[in-house]
Amino acid sequence: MLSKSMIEDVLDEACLRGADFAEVYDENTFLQETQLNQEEIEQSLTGRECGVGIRVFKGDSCYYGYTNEKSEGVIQRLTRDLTKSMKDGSMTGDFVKSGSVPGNFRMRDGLFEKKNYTMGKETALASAMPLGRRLEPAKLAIRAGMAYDEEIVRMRVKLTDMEQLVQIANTEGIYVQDQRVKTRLYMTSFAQSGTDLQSGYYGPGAMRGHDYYDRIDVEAAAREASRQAKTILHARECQGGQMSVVVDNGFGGLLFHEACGHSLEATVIARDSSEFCGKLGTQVASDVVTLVDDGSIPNEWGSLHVDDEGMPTQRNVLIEQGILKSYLVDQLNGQRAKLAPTGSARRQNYKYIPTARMTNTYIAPGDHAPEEIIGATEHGLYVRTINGGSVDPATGDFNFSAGECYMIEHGRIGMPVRGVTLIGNGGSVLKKVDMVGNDFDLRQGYCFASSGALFIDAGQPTVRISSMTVGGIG
Amino acid sequence: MTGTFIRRFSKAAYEKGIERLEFYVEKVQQVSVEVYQGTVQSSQLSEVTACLVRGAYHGFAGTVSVESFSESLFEEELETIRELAELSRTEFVASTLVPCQNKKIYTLTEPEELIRKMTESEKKVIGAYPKLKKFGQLVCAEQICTRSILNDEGVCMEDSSRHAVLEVRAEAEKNDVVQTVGSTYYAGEAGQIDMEAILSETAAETCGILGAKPVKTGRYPVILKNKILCEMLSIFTSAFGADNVHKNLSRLAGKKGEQIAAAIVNLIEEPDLAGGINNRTFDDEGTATSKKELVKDGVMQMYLYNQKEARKDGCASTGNGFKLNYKSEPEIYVSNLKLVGEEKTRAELIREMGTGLFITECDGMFAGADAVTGDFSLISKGYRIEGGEIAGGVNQITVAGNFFEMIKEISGISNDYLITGTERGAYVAPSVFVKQLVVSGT
Repeated sequence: MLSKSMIEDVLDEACLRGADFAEVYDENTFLQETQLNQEEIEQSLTGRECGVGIRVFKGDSCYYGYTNEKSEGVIQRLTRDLTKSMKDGSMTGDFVKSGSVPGNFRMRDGLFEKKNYTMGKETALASAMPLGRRLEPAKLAIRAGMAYDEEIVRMRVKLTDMEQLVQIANTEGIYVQDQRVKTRLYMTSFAQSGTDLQSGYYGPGAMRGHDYYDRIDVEAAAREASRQAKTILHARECQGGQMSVVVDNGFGGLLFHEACGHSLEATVIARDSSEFCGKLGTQVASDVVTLVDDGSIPNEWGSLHVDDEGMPTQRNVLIEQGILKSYLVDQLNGQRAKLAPTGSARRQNYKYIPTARMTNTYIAPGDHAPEEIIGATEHGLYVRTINGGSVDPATGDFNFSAGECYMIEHGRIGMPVRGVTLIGNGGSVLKKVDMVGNDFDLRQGYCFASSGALFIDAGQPTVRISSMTVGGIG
Repeated sequence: MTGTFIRRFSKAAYEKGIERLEFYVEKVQQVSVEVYQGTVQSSQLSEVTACLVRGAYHGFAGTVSVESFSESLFEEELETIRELAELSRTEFVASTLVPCQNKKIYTLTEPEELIRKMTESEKKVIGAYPKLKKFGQLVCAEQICTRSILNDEGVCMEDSSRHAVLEVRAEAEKNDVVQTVGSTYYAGEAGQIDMEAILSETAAETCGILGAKPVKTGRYPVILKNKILCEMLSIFTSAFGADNVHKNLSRLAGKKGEQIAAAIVNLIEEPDLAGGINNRTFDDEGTATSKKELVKDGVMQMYLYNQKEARKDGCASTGNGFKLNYKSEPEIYVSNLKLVGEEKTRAELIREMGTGLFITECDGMFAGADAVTGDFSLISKGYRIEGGEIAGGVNQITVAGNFFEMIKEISGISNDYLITGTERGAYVAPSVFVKQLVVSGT
């Protein structure tokens, strides 16, 4: 990792060349992704991602550069090139931030004492384990998934181990080092009947080392993936239209990740490109909706000790009983929108500019038993698993693809259906949430956006939306 | 830097019994600028040289990816190769490398030049469309990529490419309802992108879709715009890969020589395409690339192979062993894949359809399209077509079907070719008229 002196030299250089703010992000990450097809290693990618990102602000503009060559000469040259671009490229004319003091950073302030965040002593680091032992949970999952049913023809399991060490320092004195250890087992099960081949998945993960696999039932998780695959194989094609939609607990929370989570990120708020702009303190959802983003939950897959700007993560209540309370804010967009940062700045690695992103985002539990919600639904769709989705924050239009689904008729779960896409508008769907269950759960996944692919949790209890557009293929 | 690394690493590897080393080195230089309402949002410069090392340990293959060329990591990296070789017991097969030097000297466009062009174009177009609220996204990036494949016997194959991309999202507003349209344009370099024309076209499309509403659920004749076809090809071309055929994950298994698409459909891979953005003389395994017809007059002609899958079928690689990134194993992708057929204008296609939908955007394809089954169900927007003319905007609908069935139902192909780049290769496609797709709306 870069020495304190090298970091201060970079910050000095940026300040002397007129930057209002400068930051060094130094990364050394052990990353291993091994995919087993049946029990054969199909692909194993192991190595380190090592590099430095330099970010400077001039007014509300950001200049970013990165390199994997951590020599003093290269990093200083990169900093100079960025500041050159800053001077020549400014189009607004007046970039001088009020209160900013030009000149030598080290002489002026200097870095605070380094804060060092580490994982708990129980963390079993993958990098210190033989590959054969690391792959044991994956092989266990494959055997359990295959044994579930004779229609299961293939199991593909991807083991991801990440040990990320970052140093973040900036001209406001922040100087932190954070160790982030993650592991995940992503299981895909394929079921086949004739030429029809369908899949199910389950992907438990945590901010832990391999000690995680002693805490979960890997075989049960694999059987769950196979159960989904078999169910979808025998599902009929869904016929689309408008109907009530009941979304199961856990990763069903992705609905709210798409429907409003992205639209609450400062990236779009600062540009007035979100349907939620200017609505703080107003009713944006029905009063049974409380939406929280909390990157500080111990050991969760979407958690971090500090965000990628060095600010400790925190519990952010975004919507409370239907009232919009907060956005997710990073430093630069906070400056642009005059909002305080919320510990939400994230990036996949040093190759990305950090911006406000979600961590562990969930709908807080309500009062209804899930059976009560199903029982109160005359005709609708019951969504048990979600594959993924996306949103256009400017319009609020979102979509997501569902996996295992069933029709609900006369308050009972009926036949399974497949090929379901749910679409809607965030603002209107939030107001149509009319029942929230008491069976809260969190699940793990990835979110892909401008600052890269990030590990996130989505969660909720069972939730009912009174009416949505269901897209079908039947 | 990499030359010294290769020498020292090779020496350390041989001392540990790891031999026959191969290095895939990728150097990526990039400039990227984002402008918003006349100001620089971000300006980026980067250069990263990274490497994947392959080696043989007791005859078995192991790999490790390297971004830090420090000798202090050699022990860990060599242990990774040894461990993977021992555990996977995959036979090491050396790549057949032929000395080849196709490196071109490119320079990146200066960020200041991009900023100037972008802000000028933005200002002009905003002024020309009163209903346009703004460009919510305006990003231009240019990238030079140099790939080298080397072995420890000193053989080196080197190739380089450059491309630029402009990403635009326009927002228009009417009666407090916002509509957006996004466009992505690729070219060989930033100077070839006519920013003003692209911003104007995107602005016009966004303003034209104002007042959009859903249509009734049903089956409709549909014209899918070129960019939707490009994205679909990038997903469903995997069915031509011998890897998916071998794993029973391809709908095209056993279909060679059969009619798999309408007779007007042709799919051609051109690694030396005029205006191509992924022109390659050799693939990521060092196999020479060549022009190939995947589908001719609707009939499937061939599967695509990398070295590994070719060995299974006892045939030669088709030069399609491409990596998703420097770290990954070579899978099966394409250089530039082009859909060609008829050369009708888009207006002719719309007139021929008479009544139906012209779908200009489909989102969420990464989750809503199943590469194995071909099923797709996607949130879409576009226009209603009545009497052969555009009759109003459509949004909040899903368009669904099955790609492998849909290509049999293509009854018209336009000449409005668009090229898009993905990590799985470049795809060129025009708009197509499909007799019927399932639409869910009101």
